[in-house]
Amino acid sequence: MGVLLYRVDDRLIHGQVVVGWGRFLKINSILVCSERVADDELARTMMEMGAPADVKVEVLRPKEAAAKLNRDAFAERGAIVLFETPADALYLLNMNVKIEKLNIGGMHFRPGKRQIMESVSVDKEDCRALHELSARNVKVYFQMVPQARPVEIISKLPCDL
Amino acid sequence: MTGIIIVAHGELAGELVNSVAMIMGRVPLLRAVGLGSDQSLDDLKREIEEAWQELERGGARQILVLVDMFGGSCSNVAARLVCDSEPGQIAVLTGVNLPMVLEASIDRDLYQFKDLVDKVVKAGRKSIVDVRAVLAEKLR
Repeated sequence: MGVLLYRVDDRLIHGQVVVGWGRFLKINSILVCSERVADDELARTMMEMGAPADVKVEVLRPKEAAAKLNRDAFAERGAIVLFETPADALYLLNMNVKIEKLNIGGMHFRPGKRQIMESVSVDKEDCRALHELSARNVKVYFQMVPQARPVEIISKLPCDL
Repeated sequence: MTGIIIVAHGELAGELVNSVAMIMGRVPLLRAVGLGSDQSLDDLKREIEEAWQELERGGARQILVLVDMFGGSCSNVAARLVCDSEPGQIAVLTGVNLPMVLEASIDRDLYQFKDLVDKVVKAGRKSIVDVRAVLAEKLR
């Protein structure tokens, strides 16, 4: 067991994650690694409510998430770890969390971002983090739902941001 | 595996299939049949039967029909199909919503037909939530 999926998805817990990935991987835990959500009681409650009753949801700041993952707290469970941004995933890597593969789900368009594929838009910070993750041997791939084919993403990042 | 047919007024059935695909990717043995405003009920029945045959050719052993509204034309037509078949062959559930279609699609091959039908009924009932009431409880 352990962490079965590390995923960047700016919607965090939603249908694709709970039903698509969660049921497919037969998980019983979701760890949301986000400073923003940890500080927002309503957002946190919505996250907890969005998951089925048999899936334990935790929302932690990146620093607390790193400590928890480094204790191998999910060894006996099956977990998905969710990030809003690649930068949060890179932060965990810098804190010595072992991430071999990083799934990119939705990174939706906002002003200042550039769309590189359907459902993925990046800014300079995202590009930098994704390049560094890849350079440090994290296999970064885009895949919205388990039934879709994984797609290589690093070569699609714009170099002029 | 069980085949699923969604039957609903207008475009609803097709759009439920599209919404499921957005969440789970493409789902096998899932068909939509819509009742157009000028369509006869005989025609609707024929379309459902065609979808049924198509699913059987695709390997479906039983058929779960999810219709939009009990007492509506779609459920009346589906009721006729139920009367003409064996209990283990086809089930019809009304009040279809997205959680029901998702529940019906997931792990379909792991359940006996009757258990799958029960599981979908439960998912549908559980899916109606008064968000304000739940939040009030949680945030108290």
